[in-house]
Amino acid sequence: MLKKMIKIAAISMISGTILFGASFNAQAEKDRVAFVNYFLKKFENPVANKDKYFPYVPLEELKKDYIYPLKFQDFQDGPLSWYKPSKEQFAEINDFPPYEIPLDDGEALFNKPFANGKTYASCFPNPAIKQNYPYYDTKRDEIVTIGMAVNECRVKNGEKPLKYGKGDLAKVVAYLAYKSRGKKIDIKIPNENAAKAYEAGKKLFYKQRGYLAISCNECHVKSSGKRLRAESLSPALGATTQMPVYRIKWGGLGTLQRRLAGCVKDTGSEKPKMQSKPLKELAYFLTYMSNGMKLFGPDTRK
Amino acid sequence: MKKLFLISTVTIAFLAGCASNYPSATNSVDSAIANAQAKYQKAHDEMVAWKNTKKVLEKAKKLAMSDPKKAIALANEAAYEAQTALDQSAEFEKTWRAEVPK
Ligand code: HEC
Repeated sequence: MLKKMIKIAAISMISGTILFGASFNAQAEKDRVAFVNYFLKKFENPVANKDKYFPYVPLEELKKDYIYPLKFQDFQDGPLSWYKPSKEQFAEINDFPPYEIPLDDGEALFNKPFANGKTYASCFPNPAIKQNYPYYDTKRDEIVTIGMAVNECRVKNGEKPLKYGKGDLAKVVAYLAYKSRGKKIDIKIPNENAAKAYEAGKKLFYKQRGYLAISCNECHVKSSGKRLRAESLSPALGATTQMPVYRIKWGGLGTLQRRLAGCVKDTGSEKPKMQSKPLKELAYFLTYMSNGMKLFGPDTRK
Repeated sequence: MKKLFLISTVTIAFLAGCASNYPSATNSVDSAIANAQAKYQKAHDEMVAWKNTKKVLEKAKKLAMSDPKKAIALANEAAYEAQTALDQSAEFEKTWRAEVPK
């Protein structure tokens, strides 16, 4: 009898934690499933579903240039996932990937001893960690990005922090991304403040802004799979999977936040600062939307 | 009659108030910049400021002494942009949730 009671108590405690734990990400999970389904439907058959999703794209172009059906993991390729000409062009570029040299630099930096003799490995004994970033640190009550983790490792070891967004920091992040290839994105929402941060990021994504009064949603959900001048608009699903990227326009690597800040500015808004709260929240939301997708960074972009 | 008297005193007081406060050039450039600064700061804090507003405001500050007329025009432009950004944000606050895929 006692045994049975203990068993029941244990079971209800376990299910209690599961329920309790799940409640913080309940809304996010609902959002994520709808988000993924939107993209799977949209890119299942653009030719057959032209009227619904691609009314402005000529049928010939849909037939000739679009790659479909796209499965969940196919979205890892961002702007290259659905557009044949870009995909072919970049496959050629990646015969000798432009990110290779900065990636090698990143590896060298990772292994180069700090002044105290230790290396980054003292903080990241297993460098395959990118799938868990950005994460919500409940003790610190803030989002921690992978760039922050790199700089905190430096400071802990008596080194100066690096400038965010590009340069050596992006190189080290590229190395961590490379070591994390194949790991599935696993962003958690551990408590109420994390859920609030998620909601703030979601709002930043969906709410129109800037003097263009346009939102991320407008370009990367509704207009994803369309061409904008010389660009092809990437689906927001999988948008963080290949970061950091070597951009030909930048002539170097840039982190997710560098790209996000640029896109915020493109709406006609003030450019947010690297590692500012809103930018971290946006990254947190956007990465959560791709939960379960395998990482494949770094990569090359226009 | 009493009413008319009241109205006219109020009007006179109002006019007098205006006249005595009639801004000198430096006064009005200062207040235009202060107004723009406050509005810009609010838009900035709410993360909705537009791309060029700060630049326009900074230019207004730079010209405050040398060309107050131009400075006022620029400050007013910055204030207008910041206010429009705030109004627009309040408007979109009501509608953005409908955009989330369900
Ligand atoms: C006017 C359209 C437009 C808006 C609005 C816009 N972007 Fe972009 N974005 C682009 C274009 C064009 C590119 C480059 C091609 C591509 O990747 O889609 C891009 C690229 C990106 C990328 C890189 C994807 C990759 O795999 O390389 C991310 C991430 C991104 N945008 C996020 C955002 C976010 C978040 C917002 C809202 C703050 C936003 N964008 C707003 C047009 C836009």
